[in-house]
Amino acid sequence: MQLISVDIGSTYTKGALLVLRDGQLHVQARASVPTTQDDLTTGFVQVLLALGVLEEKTQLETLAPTIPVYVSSSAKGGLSVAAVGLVPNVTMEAARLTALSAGGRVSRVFSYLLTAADIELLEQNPPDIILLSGGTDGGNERYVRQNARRLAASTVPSCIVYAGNRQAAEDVERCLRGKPFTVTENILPALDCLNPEPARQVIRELFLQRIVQGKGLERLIRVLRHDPLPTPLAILEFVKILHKHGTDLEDFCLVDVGGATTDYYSALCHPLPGPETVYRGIPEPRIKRTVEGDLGLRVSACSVLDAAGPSLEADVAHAGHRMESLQAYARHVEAAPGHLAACADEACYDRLLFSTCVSIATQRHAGRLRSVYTADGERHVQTGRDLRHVRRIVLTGGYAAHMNLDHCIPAMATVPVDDTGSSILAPRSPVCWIDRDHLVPLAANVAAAHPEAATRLVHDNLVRTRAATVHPHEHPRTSP
Amino acid sequence: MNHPVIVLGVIGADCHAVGNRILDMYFSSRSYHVVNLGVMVSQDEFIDAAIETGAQAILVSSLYGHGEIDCAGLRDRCIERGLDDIILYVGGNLVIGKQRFEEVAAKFRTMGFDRVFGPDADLAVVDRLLRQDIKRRQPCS
Repeated sequence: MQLISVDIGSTYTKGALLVLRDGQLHVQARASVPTTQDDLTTGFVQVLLALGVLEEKTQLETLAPTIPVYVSSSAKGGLSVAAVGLVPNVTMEAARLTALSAGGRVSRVFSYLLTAADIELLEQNPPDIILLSGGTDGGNERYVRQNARRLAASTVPSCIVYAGNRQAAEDVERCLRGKPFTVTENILPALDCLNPEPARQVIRELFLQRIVQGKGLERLIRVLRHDPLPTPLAILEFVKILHKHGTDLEDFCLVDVGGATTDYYSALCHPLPGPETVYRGIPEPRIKRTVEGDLGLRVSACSVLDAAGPSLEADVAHAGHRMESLQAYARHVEAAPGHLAACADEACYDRLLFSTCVSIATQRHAGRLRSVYTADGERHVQTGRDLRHVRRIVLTGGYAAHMNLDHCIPAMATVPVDDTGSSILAPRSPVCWIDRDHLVPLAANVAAAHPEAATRLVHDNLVRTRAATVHPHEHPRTSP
Repeated sequence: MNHPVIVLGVIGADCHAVGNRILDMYFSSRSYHVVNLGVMVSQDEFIDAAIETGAQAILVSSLYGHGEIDCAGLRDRCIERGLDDIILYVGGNLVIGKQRFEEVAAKFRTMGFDRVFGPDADLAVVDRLLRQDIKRRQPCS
């Protein structure tokens, strides 16, 4: 049985013709063309032509019934979501996490009351979706009511998803009548209960209804008779499947380093610590996605260097280069995002940028552990997730696939402690595996239908990097 | 609102968990909606939880004798963050050494706590006082 999987990215449209035989997926053909922004179907058709499944001059419409086609689209880098919550550490954080887990790009976050200036920002630069939350069920209603009123009085055209205090839902709905609006379950019904799933589902549906309009995607949906998936959501779901079916992977991280952002996924069996450690903050989900908007190999190359710690200079010197040359390269590729490394030096700069993105994103994704001295002795307080036991980091993305494997990635120095003196709970001695043929997004598309085969396909395509890429480091305090 | 919402927790670097569990069980059985933050809770965590859950009262426990340091400024911080008239109770072994309870209670009342309880407080009394205080603060409607 043949399958086609296509991922319409922001720069490239990639496709593969896959064959499913004896429960195993094999890649029969691959193709990649620049994404055609005006009409996405043009690039899609070009990929199908290159895969040899469409004859020259045949209409897209004739493709449908013979081979199932699975499509994902990153839709201009993901749909933008403004997350509105009440308290920054509580519902605002829950809203941010929910938007990210729905494959969104969080454009802004707001806490407490939306001010006139906040509304103006939203009017001038409207996100695709506003995720309005606040209050646990039966809890605070004042802020969400008032925020709804302010949004109702504004000219903000965005879809508003209400996922706050259940008690205020009817009022909020009445208030926002006439605006594009959906009510769903509270993302934080109780302080110790995160409930992102219903809001995620709504965001996904909105993605399909609103974001795919124009650019020819409706035509694609008509032909394929099923909806394309937002790429980050497809990958998140795939991470879930990999965690379930890919027994060798156990707990793992998956990092997608792109031109503009670094997407970080982690899958943990037990995201919360045992009783010996005090956990603080909203509960961690088993699968988590974070997006670093300032870490990327092209559009955000300069901000990678701004974010890098002093260890980068040592790495640059160790690689036999000067920091100034790397900075000049970063400026150059930021201005010309289509640039590909043209010589050995440039390839080395790309590797340095790549490893910096991965190490900083790892540090940001990981939780923190601090020691507190109590009358009963030392205690540990944890916030966020503990990745110390994670052995594998899967690196994916177009650049990772093109990396010359003869060079190992420069050591990724993760610092053991952050600015506040807390230990960073990053993987201690992980091994990085590279998605050599960049199959993750393509396998993710078919994973819902063929979970085990898609898992196997990606597994068999992972190549271990030559060296352990993160300096093993000791945490200043022994783990609890 | 039938069930009053109360936030419970042990403040500061105090990890005495047993009393906290007992308070949780007792007040839950008395039809309160208990939001229990457990041990080692910071002032801001109490306030965050009270804002989100719309709590009427925060019940702070302290067992290890550093209560005075940990609780200082909690009322001001509540006001600063918009909880103008939340009920604040504190109880436990609040100070080290032998100090007369009346003095300790006076000290904590000056700090802005509505009521102060010693380690041997009768929870039925706390319950009765709490209901009174909540009723008194409710806006007439």
